[in-house]
Amino acid sequence: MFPFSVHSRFSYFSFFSNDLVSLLPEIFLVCCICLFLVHGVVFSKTGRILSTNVANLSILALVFVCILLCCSPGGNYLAAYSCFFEDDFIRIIKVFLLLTCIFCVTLSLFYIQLEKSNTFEYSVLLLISLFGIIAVLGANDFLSLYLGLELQALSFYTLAANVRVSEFATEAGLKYFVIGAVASGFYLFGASLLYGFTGCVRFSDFSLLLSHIAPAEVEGIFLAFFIFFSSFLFKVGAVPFHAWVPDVYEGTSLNVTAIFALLPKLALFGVITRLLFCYFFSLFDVWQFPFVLCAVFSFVWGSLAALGQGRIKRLLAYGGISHSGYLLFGVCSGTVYGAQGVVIYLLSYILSGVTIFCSLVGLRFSRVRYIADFAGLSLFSPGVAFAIAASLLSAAGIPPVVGFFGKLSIFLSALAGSLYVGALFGVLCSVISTFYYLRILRTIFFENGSRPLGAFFSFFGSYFSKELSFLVGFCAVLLFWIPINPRILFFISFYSSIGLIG
Amino acid sequence: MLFQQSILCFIAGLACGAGFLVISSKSPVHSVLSLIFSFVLCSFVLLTLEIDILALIFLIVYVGAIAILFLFVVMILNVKVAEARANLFQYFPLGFFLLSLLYFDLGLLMPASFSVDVAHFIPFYLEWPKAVLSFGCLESIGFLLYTYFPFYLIGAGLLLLLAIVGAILLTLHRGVGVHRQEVSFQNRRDWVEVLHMVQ
Repeated sequence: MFPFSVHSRFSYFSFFSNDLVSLLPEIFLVCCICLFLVHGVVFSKTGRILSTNVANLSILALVFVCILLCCSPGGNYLAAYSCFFEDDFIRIIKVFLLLTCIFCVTLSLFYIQLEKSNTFEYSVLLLISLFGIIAVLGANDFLSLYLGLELQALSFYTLAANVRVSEFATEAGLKYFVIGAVASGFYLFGASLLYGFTGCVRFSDFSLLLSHIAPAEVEGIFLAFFIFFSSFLFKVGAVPFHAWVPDVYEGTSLNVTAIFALLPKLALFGVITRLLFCYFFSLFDVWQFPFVLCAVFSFVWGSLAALGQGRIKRLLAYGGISHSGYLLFGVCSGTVYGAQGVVIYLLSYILSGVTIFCSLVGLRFSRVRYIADFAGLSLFSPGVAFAIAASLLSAAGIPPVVGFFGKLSIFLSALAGSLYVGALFGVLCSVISTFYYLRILRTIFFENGSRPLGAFFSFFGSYFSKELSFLVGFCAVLLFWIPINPRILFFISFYSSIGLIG
Repeated sequence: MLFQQSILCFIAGLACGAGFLVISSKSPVHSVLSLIFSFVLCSFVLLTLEIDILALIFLIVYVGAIAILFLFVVMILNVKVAEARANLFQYFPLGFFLLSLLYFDLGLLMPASFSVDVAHFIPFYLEWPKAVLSFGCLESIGFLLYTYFPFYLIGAGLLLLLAIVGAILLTLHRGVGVHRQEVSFQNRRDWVEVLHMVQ
């Protein structure tokens, strides 16, 4: 790439000769962000509305980034003076992140056209947050991780408060902002304490240090470690730090809720798994019990509190809390199967989440807010009813759908890690959560048609756009198709978990 | 040494006094002003300890941005004076708890892990060539940042760009019915044709 730098006497030039190759997807993404911003600013001066245009462009850019990522050289490497790290686990999670982001932009495109939202910055903010999430995933350093987290969080605050006329959206944005600031404070405090007690900034140095020194000899490292990780628990909404989740999910508009539910969970659980498995595994005895407690409280509280919810968004929020509990439980098992289970669970979560959020966005004009409003959906639109049923069955973990494999592998890995009591609680809570998911299905299939839905369908007919209906159909079919031929799922997850270890 | 320490103690004491004024003054504007005063004094303390970059950051970030923002918000909100007075001692237990946590953290854990050898304090002769040729605080940070960690710089720049874009997204209203200024059209107009005298 740079022939003059390879044999140069200045050794730091050679650091960057490989960076262009290894960081090409990220560099391309940032260039696209800047280009779209300039494009939007220049062409919207004449009063043109560019929201659809920029959203389409960003889908194109995401596809290109995906191709670049798939064509990357492979293997494990450190880039940019070992600020960023990449292996097969990270690469696979990144590909799924990009696909999820394409789904989210498609979903938002429909919403944007529906609501006549005229801001092209929406897609640009989404791309910036995606860049931040990718930086979080590949971070090998306290600072690069922090920069990525802040990029993601700052664009999410703005996305949450995107709908200016809605008081709920403003409240959600402010709440998310305050919680995010607290989480950042925890992160920085924990990181500075960890640096103060050990003198390491890079994560790979921690694994080296802790494998040679007994952790108990490093004074105060446990306190610093838990302060550091509580910020991640804040971000994923695990139970002692979960209070913001229902309000933020409920207040924001539906497309933003989908983004909040899908994108960060994938990246954060990727980075939590990587940090705990690769770099802080010497502290396993210390972190296992508190995180298991956190996970158990999460899924117990998530399933119990969802029982009393009437609003569909709040129910999905509590479902999300219990999902993050299960994921954390998979991490806590401390085995390779746990990592594999986390990947399988994440994929099934993404699939079911995309299906249900796309269906809800498609039913947007019917003002379906409460669960009772779904009554008789199967009469009006059997396809949508089928898709929602598939995604809810997957979230509940009932056998013919892909979510079953996620829960199964999480519980099997927990049994392999001798977490018997926790696994028992998990199965019980899974049964409890089945109750409220089945209650929605009963409302959809076995109750008489409600007034708002009937009015909606008689007025609009079927109001799904082509892309949205393709997305719903694709994901719903995939939910049933993967269990028939689960080889691909197991191969991908096993490959990525092996990449995590090796 | 004694002179420096006495100056340090004096400034730190003033900062503590300003901190007390923040919670005890009646008007919120006054308490924000004394907050700014305590920030300035803290940056003096840092300067006395020869941590110049942190002192500058204190002045620029806390005084220049955050405290002035507070001041604007307080002046805009027009908070009643009497309300703030009533629940002053309500937060005392919480503050005490936080203070004890800080003491536990700084006083018990930190010195144990940062224990320093006495040999470090043996007086040494100043080597002038080293003092002239060595980097200062700002220079060394700049050297590291631009040579080894340009990606952090780019990331921070992207963060600032994001702040601007977010602020525009939340405030600018785009739409068909919005009146906007057409600069070229406005410049092309001839004032003789536009102005009319009304009889």
